[in-house]
Amino acid sequence: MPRRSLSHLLAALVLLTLLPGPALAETAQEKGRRLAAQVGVEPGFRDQSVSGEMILTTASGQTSTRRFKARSVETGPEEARSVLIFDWPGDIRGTALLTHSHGGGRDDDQWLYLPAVSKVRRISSSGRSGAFVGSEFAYEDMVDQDVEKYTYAFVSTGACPGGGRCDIVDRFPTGRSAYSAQRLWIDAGRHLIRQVQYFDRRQAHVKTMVVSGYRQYQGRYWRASQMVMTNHLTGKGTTLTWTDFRFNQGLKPADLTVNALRRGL
Amino acid sequence: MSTSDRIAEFILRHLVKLTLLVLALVLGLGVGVSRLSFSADNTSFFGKDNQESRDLAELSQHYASASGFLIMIVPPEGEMFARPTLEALRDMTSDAWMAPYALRVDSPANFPHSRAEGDDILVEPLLDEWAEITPEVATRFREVASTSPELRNRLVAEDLTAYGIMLNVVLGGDFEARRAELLAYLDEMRADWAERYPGFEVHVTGDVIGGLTLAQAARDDIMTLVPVAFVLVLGLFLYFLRSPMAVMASAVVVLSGTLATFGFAGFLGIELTAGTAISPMAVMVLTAASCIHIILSWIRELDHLDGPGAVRHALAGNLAPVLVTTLTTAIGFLGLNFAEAPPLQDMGNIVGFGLLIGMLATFTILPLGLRMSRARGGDSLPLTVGMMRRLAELAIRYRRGWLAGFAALVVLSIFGIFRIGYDDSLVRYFDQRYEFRRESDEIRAHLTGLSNLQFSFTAPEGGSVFEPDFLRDIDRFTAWIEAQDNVVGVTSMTQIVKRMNMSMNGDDPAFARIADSREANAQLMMFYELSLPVGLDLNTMIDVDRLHTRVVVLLRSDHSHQIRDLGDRAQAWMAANTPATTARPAGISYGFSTVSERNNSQMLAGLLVVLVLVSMIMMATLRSLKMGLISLAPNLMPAIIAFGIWGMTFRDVNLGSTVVTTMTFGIVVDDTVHFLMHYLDGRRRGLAPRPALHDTFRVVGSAIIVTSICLAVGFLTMATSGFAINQHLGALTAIVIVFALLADLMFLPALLLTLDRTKD
Repeated sequence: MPRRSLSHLLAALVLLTLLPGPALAETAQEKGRRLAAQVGVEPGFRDQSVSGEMILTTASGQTSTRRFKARSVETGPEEARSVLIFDWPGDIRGTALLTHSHGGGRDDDQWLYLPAVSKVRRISSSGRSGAFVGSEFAYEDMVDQDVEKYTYAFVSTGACPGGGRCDIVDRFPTGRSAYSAQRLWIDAGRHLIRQVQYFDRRQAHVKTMVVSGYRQYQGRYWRASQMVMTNHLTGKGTTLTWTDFRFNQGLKPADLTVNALRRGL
Repeated sequence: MSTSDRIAEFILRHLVKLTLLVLALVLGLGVGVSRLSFSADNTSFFGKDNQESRDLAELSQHYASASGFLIMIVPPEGEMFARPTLEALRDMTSDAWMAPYALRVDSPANFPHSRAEGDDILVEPLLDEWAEITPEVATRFREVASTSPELRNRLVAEDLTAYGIMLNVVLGGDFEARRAELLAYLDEMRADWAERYPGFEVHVTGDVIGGLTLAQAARDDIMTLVPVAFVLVLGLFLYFLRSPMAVMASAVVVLSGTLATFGFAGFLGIELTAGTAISPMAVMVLTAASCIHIILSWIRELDHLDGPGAVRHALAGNLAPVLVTTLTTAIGFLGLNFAEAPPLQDMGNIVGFGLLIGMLATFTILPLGLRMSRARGGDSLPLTVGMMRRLAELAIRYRRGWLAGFAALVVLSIFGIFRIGYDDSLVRYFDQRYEFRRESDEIRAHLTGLSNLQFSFTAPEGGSVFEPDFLRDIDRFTAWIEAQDNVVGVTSMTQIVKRMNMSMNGDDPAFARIADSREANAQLMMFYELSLPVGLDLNTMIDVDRLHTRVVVLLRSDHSHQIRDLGDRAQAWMAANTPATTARPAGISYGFSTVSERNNSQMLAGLLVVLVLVSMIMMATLRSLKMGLISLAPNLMPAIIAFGIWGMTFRDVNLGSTVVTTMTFGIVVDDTVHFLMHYLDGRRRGLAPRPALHDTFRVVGSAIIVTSICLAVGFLTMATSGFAINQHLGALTAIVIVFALLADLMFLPALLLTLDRTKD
């Protein structure tokens, strides 16, 4: 039985839970859900670390960089802990964002460690939909998506952006979200997200994320190296580049707690 | 045979062909009318190459920029904090979010309120969109809404009677279609609210509406004032000139000039705005003035010549004067190119060009009409030869009185001129007939200020905006400017840093200060940033590189000098108190508050150039240096007197007024040219000054009077526009023309009698 795992950390990839249901006279909803559930299903995954770099571009072409390291560990079925430690800009170096994600539709817990004042504070949940460190990614675009938090509709199969065949699936959040809908392009062969279109609360297509540069690590883990988010309303964009993936380094859940944050990571 | 005679002969021989040629040209240009477009850009009045425009561009480069709509909600009396009102406010905020191209919505309902709860800091909207409004929620809302300096006077009325919802949209790309879609949504939304929330008053303003109102005002003026001016001019023609054929021909001439001008603007791709749309009207009345001169000569000639002879004489006699006056008028308008505001330049160019086409029509279509007329002399004209004689006597008899009177008037006017102030604001450009003005006034009176000053600070070399010393300077500046008159609110990142620092330390007020290290400030801001809901980010106050931050000062002002003064005082304060951290005032309101001053200083150069060029033409035409110099007096005085009177009465001028002196100089010399040419002609024929004056009054007196009345009526029509630039431009020009008439008829003869003592 495939175990649920983190798709990848902080990637806008969906995560899924369930076994594919029986495909008899499958409805569009069931088919959409089944396809979404297949994404990111990996065997034997425990923990990983990766470096991320965001390049923010404004409509006028001004750019700015954010760099961070991310580590995550699985703590149980449907549960994971992750921490994201900023490296750049220099004045937020060492600032760490700790997330405990829960299954079963429960809201995640999130804390920020501020090294300059040696304090840890919980972040209220309304912030998940806002722009993440000034980028075009919302936090909710970057975290694992619990398959239970959406309803689905299969749209069609078609060409993937950048080639190949994709299943196109719409998903609609059941809880609070900045979006009314997301349209996913899922690589039909490898069950990987190739593109996501985001629709805001008035159903306007507001952002698009194109995911590219998938590579397989250790013969098992497919990881994208680039995610390009474009905001169609403001003309701004963010390119998120992932490098230096490492797996199963022996990270323990106890390393990713509020107390661990206080001790410094 | 003189050159004029030969040209007149040529024109009359080929009159039909030439007329057809001119009509073809006019119709060809007229095609351009279909390409006319109206600008709805409220920065169209700003030139591109000045500090204010560059600062404005820099603001939009560093910070998130969007078009804003401010919606004011006035709940039923006494219901401000009632639960149904809070529910309405919450739902209205959600409705605003549903507007097409909405980027962010700020309202008391979604205001991110932060508070410490044990070790946690909660940043939450005051009214959660998905949660019920419990009595506790309502109580907290009331408490925060009535005390928060970030809400009070901005999104909550000072007297707690109204709420504001700020909607920011990005219309970028396909601007016009998106704007139409957005406005349709807002209309629908308001209609829906009217039904759902009876007893609630709703008012809306915003820069997009202001821009649209600019285009609307331009269209209104073209559709109403241009036809009205046309009818008035024709009425004056019928009254003063009588001959139906002459009036009809003139109608065709002025229509041709006007059409060609609009068409020319269309071909050049000039976007008409409220400040330029009715400038073709100037072509209409100025061309009409040329027609009057020819028609009155023709009528006079009919007394002793046959029809064709009268036309030939009238044409030959007016070729040179009309050519010269058209040239000087065109130069006056082309002088507007010195103005810095693009619409004023456009106006100068299209009118200058239109005048030339109008002149061609005057020399062809008009004689053709006159030749077809069966009129017989001008005995029945309202302005009789007897009246002109009495006027001449009036001028001559009281010459010392006229000289002294005008001198006194000029001196008095100087005092008036010192009282003049510049007042430019997009809202106040429109009068009460425009909804944009009424709604904006209502919102300004009840809710908040609509003007702002922005100061964009650059972090010290090698640092970031989080440097403690830099932030402390900005914090002091913020505190200083908050306490100034007319300031209703200030937005500064220092407020957030201080608030977060306090929240981080258990809401201890002792920590309501900038933290001591750059890192701490950056991390406090980061915490805030991570807590912000969708649509809100720091890019409205900090650029993505964290090198610039802006302080936005919201002002309730009813005169642009308040904005200018505060900008000046702010700079002086920074130079004295925070010399390491300074910024220039910037923003649309500031751009408007300085636009007249900037234009005026540029127009001074324009005036000088026009003055020299026109005077040189005068001297060449009159072939007399002395007469050229004498002519300066009656041509400059009217503008001085007009501004003097304005300063005594209305006091405030605006962008339109800055070009009046230059523009009218080219217009008022026309009468002086006609007057002096005839006077000198008489003198050269051996007449003494007094008989020469009498002769001048007899020949050109009525033409000067009729043309001046016609011009004054035309520009007064412009002054009835609902747009202040046209009001001022029209009214001031009309006053100048009236005083120019007086100066030419009374002051100039007195001056000539005093100075022209040469014996021939």
